[in-house]
Amino acid sequence: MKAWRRGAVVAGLTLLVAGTGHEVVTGKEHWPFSPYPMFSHVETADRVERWRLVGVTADGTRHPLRDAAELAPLGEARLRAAFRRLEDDPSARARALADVAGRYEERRRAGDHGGPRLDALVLERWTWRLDPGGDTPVELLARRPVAYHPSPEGPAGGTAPTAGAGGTEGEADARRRGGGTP
Amino acid sequence: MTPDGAARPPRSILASPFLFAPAPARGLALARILFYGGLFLLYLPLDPALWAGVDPVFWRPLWPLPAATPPPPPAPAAAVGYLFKGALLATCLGVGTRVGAVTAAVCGLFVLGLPNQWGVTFHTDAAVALMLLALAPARLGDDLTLPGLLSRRRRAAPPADGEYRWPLVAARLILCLVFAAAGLSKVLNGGWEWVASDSLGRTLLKQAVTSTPWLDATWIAASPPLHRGLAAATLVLELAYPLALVWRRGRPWLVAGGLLLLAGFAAFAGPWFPALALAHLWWLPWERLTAGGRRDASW
Repeated sequence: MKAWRRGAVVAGLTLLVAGTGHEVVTGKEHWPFSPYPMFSHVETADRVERWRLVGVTADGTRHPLRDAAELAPLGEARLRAAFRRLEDDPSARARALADVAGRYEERRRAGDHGGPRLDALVLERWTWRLDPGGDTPVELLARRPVAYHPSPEGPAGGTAPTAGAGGTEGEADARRRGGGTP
Repeated sequence: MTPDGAARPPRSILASPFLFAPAPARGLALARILFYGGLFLLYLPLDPALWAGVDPVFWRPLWPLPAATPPPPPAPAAAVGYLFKGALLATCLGVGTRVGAVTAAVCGLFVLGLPNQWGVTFHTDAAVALMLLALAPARLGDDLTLPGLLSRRRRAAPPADGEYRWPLVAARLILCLVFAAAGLSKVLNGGWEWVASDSLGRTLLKQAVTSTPWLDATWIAASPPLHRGLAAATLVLELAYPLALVWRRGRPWLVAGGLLLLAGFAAFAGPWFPALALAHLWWLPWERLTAGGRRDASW
């Protein structure tokens, strides 16, 4: 094996170690280098809040969208992060909901998933209480609709009414008791 | 010191038997067939064009892309996807192996990195992208290639060489970096509390409602001794995993533990790392399997 190839191999492996070391020390991520930080922080929160997408069929049946094929290619985690990011931008959020609903139906027609035909898509904020050693380790505290597709208020809307939306009071109550986004 | 008391001359890392002791070409060729073939099957359903059709409202380009970078158009994205899968298959079969391995590495950066440009960085394929890059300049196609097998004039296997050992070490090193980084991140971000508190119990409960793990983990979360013990075992295993590079006796246990950890993540927390699990095949003793069963005493 030629010396220059040996040198290149050693340099490459050194770069791999140094790159990963840099990510670990700084906590930053420069894909494909990574500090692999999943689950590395101490969880202390008693509550967890997450966005969820729920489909509603013509007969009013609720169909939570959690299956990867139904949410492809984004998936639940990316959508959750996106809707959190778009929380203060109702028009972008409405566009995002329309995109998810459109692709769901397109893929359903193509036979890429077996979900039902949906009449509406609701973005909800769910709050759970966590009690690792308790009798009820996980308890759903509140489920608040935040936005709809199609919007009940017309094309410019997309935001849920603040009154009469089940769960709104429940979430306010949860907040009074110290809840919130972890 | 040597047995006769004389000082050993300093050995350059460029002559390190750990990296460059002669190894047979067949071991690397077998690993190549399984790894690239496995990746081809695993990534066959990938369709980058699907990403290109997503509304730009979700688009959040990350390093090294400038913030203003637009999402890729569907047709070129699909073409790179086909090129990636074709290159994986070609490398597996040993058809144009050098070009195939380089193409797989370059296209892999695009195909595997594209999903991370939509708001969340996933860690499922990062190590594989690094492996494809590290293996691209290796002499993967010196033995067991389709053209060679079909040829009437069979070539003898090339002699053992350091060229066939360093790629094995590189792939293993990348796996070690993944586990070590995960362990060190837990030490730096969580410290002792990560083990001693109910952190893992809460994480498992949180994952049960926010992700889609295969199995119910509430029974683990309900028992502090159990989830703290699992947290300690996870941390020790992740930090000790790199020892597999140099500790031959402990290697099977550490590697099996790493695979068990990946299965545990999928079963109880949700994230699944199939390509990383596949990459564990690099730990098989390729140097020895194909050297007539002789013990490899070089490192």
